[in-house]
Amino acid sequence: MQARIAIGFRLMPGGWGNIGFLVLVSLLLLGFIAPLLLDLSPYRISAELLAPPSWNPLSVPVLGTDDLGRDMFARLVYGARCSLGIGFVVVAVSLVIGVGLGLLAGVYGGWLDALIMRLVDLLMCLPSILLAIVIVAVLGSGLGNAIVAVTIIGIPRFVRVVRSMTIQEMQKTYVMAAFASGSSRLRVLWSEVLPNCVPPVIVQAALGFSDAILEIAALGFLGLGAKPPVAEWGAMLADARPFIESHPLLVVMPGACILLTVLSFNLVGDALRDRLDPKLARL
Amino acid sequence: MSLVNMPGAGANEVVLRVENLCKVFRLPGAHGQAFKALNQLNLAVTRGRTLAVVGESGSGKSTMAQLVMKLQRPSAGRVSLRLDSGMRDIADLPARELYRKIQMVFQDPYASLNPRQRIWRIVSAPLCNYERLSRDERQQHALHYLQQVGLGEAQLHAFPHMLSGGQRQRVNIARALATKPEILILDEPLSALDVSVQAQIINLLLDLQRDLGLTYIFISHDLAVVRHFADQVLVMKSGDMVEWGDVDQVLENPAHVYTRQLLQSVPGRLIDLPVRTQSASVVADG
Repeated sequence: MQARIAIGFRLMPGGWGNIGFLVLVSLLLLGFIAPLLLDLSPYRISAELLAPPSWNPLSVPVLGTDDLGRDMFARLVYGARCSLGIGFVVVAVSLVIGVGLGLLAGVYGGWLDALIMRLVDLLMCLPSILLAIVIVAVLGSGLGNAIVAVTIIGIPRFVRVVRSMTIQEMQKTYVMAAFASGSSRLRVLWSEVLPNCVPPVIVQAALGFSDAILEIAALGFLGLGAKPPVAEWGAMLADARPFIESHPLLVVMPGACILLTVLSFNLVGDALRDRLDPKLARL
Repeated sequence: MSLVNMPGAGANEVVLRVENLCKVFRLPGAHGQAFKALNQLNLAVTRGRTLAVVGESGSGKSTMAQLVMKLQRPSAGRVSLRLDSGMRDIADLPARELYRKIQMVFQDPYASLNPRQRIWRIVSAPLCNYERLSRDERQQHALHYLQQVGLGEAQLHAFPHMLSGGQRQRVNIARALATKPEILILDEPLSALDVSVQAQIINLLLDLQRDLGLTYIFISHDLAVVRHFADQVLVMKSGDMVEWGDVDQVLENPAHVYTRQLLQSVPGRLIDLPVRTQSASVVADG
């Protein structure tokens, strides 16, 4: 039991990362628990248009309403759910594809390695948001296609890390020992190489999360991602743009949410990197 | 070359035979030079005996071990192994059959254990290539082999970094024993250990040989240990076999000048040098 608690503490990234970690946990709770407890709807329209925030936790539109009379607090909460959920899906899918391709490139080398790494170079040589726009332009706009685009953009970071780890690991004596006991290549990959790739992959996943959320929001803002009724932070920013002078809080609130989330993920990612992967720590 | 003239050949049954084994590495570059790591090596190992392979660094000892373990492909020549059906070329043997018969203990006890795996997992890993085992069965098997090498339950759930160098080398030996091999290749198993631990490991290896009837190929540069441990010795220099024979004969009365040099380089003169060379060197020193 004590060991379990100790492991729980070890998950805390440490330093500034702890603050980021706490912010993320509270955003998660807010996004996924608050709608169950409170009567929140991001789509319900009230008569009060552009009501200013009351800042009183007991009154109903705590953070006021937007230009259509929708509860800003409810929209921000559902936006957190949307951003974190999309971030998770994007990172999970690009992690699985990226780790798989990285292992293949690292183990087999030769033309397969060259092919995979040139594709990765191709993805990395364009600014990611530009590439996302290109992909969305090809696939058509919409939240689903935006997720696909951001997922594709998330792949290269995992491929590069896992490929270099795999090449290093394959030189190790314990890998040779595994081959010398009759293990197949697949078994060596699974039980000897992959576990050693986990720490850098966790770090990349944390940093990938923040990039994914930022890119989804950017696509939403440009009108290429989430479409208007959906409560998504980037789309909310775009909707509120006409009111930036008369009601600046409508823009500031979703913007602050994006900032806070991305900052928290970066803090956690940096702290995890310092802890799990000392070789990459900034000097 | 007739079998009788091969190093290690004797009255007993030959379990491993190496014929004309060559390994050439091509150095990097378009017109890279060829580097001969191993040149026309012949040897035969008899059941239950120990063949020591000695030589300086770069003499091809470890290359030979890797070729015999099929971890590298030979440039020429062949290695054959005695199975129930007779001598078989290892090039034709599937990995599963080969590694049931022959296993290897690696030189560096630190690098040869995966730092992220617990000891029971490391020791029982070879078995998982042969049968499906539950977690409990794996731990039972691991404990059995750990006990064979003088470790126990205390080490079962440890990570490698929690063990001393000697304990790690015991874990390495336990892993090599896990497929119940007949031949063990020991690639300088003592060189990373300090002297008192070396003695313990040697005694363990001798006990295992007596109890399990193992055949050893013992790669070393420590002639004092070789004399204590091996039955026959093969001396190598830059990929060539220089001399071979029974340990007493070769070390008491070396025929080749390189063997004599090796003997003279033993620190502390642990080995009595042949009278001729010793007196000569004394005169030179005086």
